[in-house]
Amino acid sequence: VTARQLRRGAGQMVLVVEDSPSLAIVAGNILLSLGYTPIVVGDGPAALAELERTNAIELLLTDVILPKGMTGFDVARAARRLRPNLPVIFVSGFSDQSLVSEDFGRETRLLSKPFRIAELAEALAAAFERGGVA
Amino acid sequence: MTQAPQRVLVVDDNKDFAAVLVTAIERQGLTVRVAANGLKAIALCRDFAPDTIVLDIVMPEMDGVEFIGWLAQEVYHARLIIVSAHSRYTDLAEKMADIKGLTIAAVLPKPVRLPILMAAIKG
Repeated sequence: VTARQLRRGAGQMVLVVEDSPSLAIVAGNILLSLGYTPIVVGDGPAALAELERTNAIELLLTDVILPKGMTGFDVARAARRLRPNLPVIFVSGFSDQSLVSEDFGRETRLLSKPFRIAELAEALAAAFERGGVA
Repeated sequence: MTQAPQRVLVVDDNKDFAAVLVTAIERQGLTVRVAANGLKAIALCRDFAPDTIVLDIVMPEMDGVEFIGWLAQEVYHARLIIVSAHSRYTDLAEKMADIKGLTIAAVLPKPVRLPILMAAIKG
C-alpha cells in the first residue's frame, strides 16, 4: 500500500490514550499524516476529562494497559456512557482479540503493536464507517 | 552438593519498590535481578534464567500482560507472581495467562506485605 492509497480522514478528531510519551508522539504524528486531528492524553482519567470538555471528539484510540487504575477497556466503557456511539479502537502489545470483553462486540478492533500505518488507516476508516455500535 | 540459590527476577518500573524487594530477597539468601519493563525482562530471562518472576503489570515499553504472552511461549517456565495495585490489571493478566495456558503462582495487591510476598516467592 503506498501513501497515496492509504485511506485518509477528513479532519475528524481522534482521542489517543497512550502512556508512553514516545509512542504518543508517534501516534499523534501518524494521525496527522492520515488527515485526522489527534488529541493525545496519557491515562484514563485525563481521557474522560477530555471527552467531557471536547464535544468534537469522534473516535477513541486507546492503549489497553494504562496507569492510574483504568485499563483501556474501562476508559472505553466510561467513554461510551458519555457518547454511546463513539467508535473505539484498542491498541496493545498483545494481539489476543479474545482479551477484548464481549460487551465491545466482535467488530471492535484490537490493533497489535507494532502496527503498520496502513493497518491503522484501515482500522480508523472502518471504525468511522460502521460507527460505535458493533 | 550445595543447591544453587533460587533466582528471582523482579519486573517493575517503580525503582523504590524494586529496591525494597531486592533487599528483602537478598536477605533470604536468594539471587535477584531487576528489570524496569517487559522488554528488559525478556533479555534478563534469557541470561539469568529466573526460577521465579515477580511481575508488575503497568510498565512502559512492554507491559506485564504482553510479557505473560511472551513467557508462555518460552521453553522453560518460571513461577509467576503478579503484584499490581489494581484488580483491573490483574484480571487482564490472569485472563492472558489462562488463554496461554500459563499458571500463576500468586496474585498479590499493592501495597504488598513483604512477609506475604516472600512466602509466595519461596513457594
